[in-house]
Amino acid sequence: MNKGMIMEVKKSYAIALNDEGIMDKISFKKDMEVGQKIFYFEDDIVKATKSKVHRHNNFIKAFGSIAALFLLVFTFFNTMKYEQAYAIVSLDINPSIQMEVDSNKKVLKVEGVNDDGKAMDFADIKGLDIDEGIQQIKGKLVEKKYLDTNNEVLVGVAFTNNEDNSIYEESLKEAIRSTFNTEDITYVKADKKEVEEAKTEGISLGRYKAKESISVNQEAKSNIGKAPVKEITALIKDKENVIQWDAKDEKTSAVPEINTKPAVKNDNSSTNTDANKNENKPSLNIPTDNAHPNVGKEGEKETTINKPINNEVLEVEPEVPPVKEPDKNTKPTDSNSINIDPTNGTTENNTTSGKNQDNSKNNNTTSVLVPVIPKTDVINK
Amino acid sequence: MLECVLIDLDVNKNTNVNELIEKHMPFIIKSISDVTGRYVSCENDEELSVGLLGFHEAIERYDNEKGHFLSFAKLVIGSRIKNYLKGENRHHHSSLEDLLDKGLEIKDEYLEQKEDNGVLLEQINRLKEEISSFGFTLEELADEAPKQQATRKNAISLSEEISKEEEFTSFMYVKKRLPIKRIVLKFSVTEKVVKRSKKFIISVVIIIDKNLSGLKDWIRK
Repeated sequence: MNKGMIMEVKKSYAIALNDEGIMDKISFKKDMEVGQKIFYFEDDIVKATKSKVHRHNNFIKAFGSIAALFLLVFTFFNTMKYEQAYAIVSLDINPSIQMEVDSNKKVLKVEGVNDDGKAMDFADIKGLDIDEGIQQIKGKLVEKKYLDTNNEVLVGVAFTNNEDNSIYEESLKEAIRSTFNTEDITYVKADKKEVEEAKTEGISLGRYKAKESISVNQEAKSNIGKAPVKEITALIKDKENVIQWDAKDEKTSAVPEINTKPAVKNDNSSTNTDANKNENKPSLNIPTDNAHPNVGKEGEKETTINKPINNEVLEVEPEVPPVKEPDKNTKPTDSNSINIDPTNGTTENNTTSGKNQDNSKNNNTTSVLVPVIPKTDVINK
Repeated sequence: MLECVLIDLDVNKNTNVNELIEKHMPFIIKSISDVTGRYVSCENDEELSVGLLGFHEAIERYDNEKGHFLSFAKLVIGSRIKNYLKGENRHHHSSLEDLLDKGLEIKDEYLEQKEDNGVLLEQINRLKEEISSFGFTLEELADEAPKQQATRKNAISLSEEISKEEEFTSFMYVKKRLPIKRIVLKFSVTEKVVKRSKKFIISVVIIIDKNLSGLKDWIRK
């Protein structure tokens, strides 16, 4: 308790000079007068800087809370945007799996579409990058031995806003191809509407798209939801907008042969036939001759696939006979080069560096570097 | 009863009423202040007398069944003060004389004679004017006045020394600042001390030099 003389009275406090010579600010109470001598207590003392600091604090608090609010609101909206799927990717092996990917190639959602797919747990894939996610999925598939019996993958991709982001799509393809490098991949592109329709039918995007493309075979159409992937891919391989990459052999060979399609159609054989064909024919992929089912499909998707090739090398070989077999094995290493075998009049788009090396060794031919696309087209024709 | 109070408060049994009151003066004042919402004035305040009477009454009426003494006393003081505020007439008689009648002695410390407020007021205003001519206010002074008792005492005695030196005070009034260097040399104090509490020193010098007796007495007491 102190005794103080009130020196000055202000709105919210008064200044009192206590009997020790200290000036104290004391909180305001009614009936104060300057000159009055009073008793006051420690709790009446307003800390010297307190009032200022307090006001300051209030300001900071108000400002801070407003800023926080904005931050909150904006982040909220942002995340909302973020969370929206940018692309839908469906994988059909068996199981059927459908992923939603955002614009940063992060996996937003993975779900099984058919029963086998639903039985799998994809919880840990969410949030991963797409390539990593696909690898994880593959890991799971291998674990459950799905890939032992099926080595065909049907991939469906759609952009939810229907925009055409070829760079994005390319990277998706790359991710899929590099992961399922031991499987045959059939790639179809769909659009937003088809995503929803597929959903309503309860089948994966890839299957839906396949169903769409098959107009003739009604029976197959009705079964498409359940049909093995192998059949589906066989059915749709020659359709528009379908790209196929074979297992090891062919991953990268995307020959821009548009005209070859008809030839391909006759071929129902799976990718394994490649090997045989290759053996028979001196050149690796001869669209005109035959039919590498995969090549045909790839050819259709030409635009996307050709891009990488543009910068690459076109090799013209005088003859290339028995190179095929080794090629198969070596394929996994990719470089996009095209071998053109003049003798056969066929072109080979060979993205595998291994092949090229082999060819060059065997033939000892001079390789001519030519910009790919135009030439190959011509040659094919 | 007093015994019960002493037991409840757990104090020496030989304590008498006056000692008890003396010891609880802050409590009484606080109780009054809480009820009135005002600061209790030191100067012969009716409220204080009423509060003291209330406290005394509480001691007499207290027994151990009534809970803690202090809360009980606070209630009694509170109600007495309220009665007093309601109609001052009814308790007109309650004054210091009553206290004395009951054998209570109140130290002078709490019962100062009411001074002529006019003079004091004038002096306070004079001080305010002076320090504002030095460019600061009472508020700043309050913020910057040395908080440590020792520092403050040093500053006060230093101020007294300074005010004795005509040379310094005239310099101070003309230049509106302290001749710090010369003070440091003359009184062999550190510059830091002077600088830190220069506003306080200036104020005290003014109080002494201008002979603001009311304030001077208050500080020196």
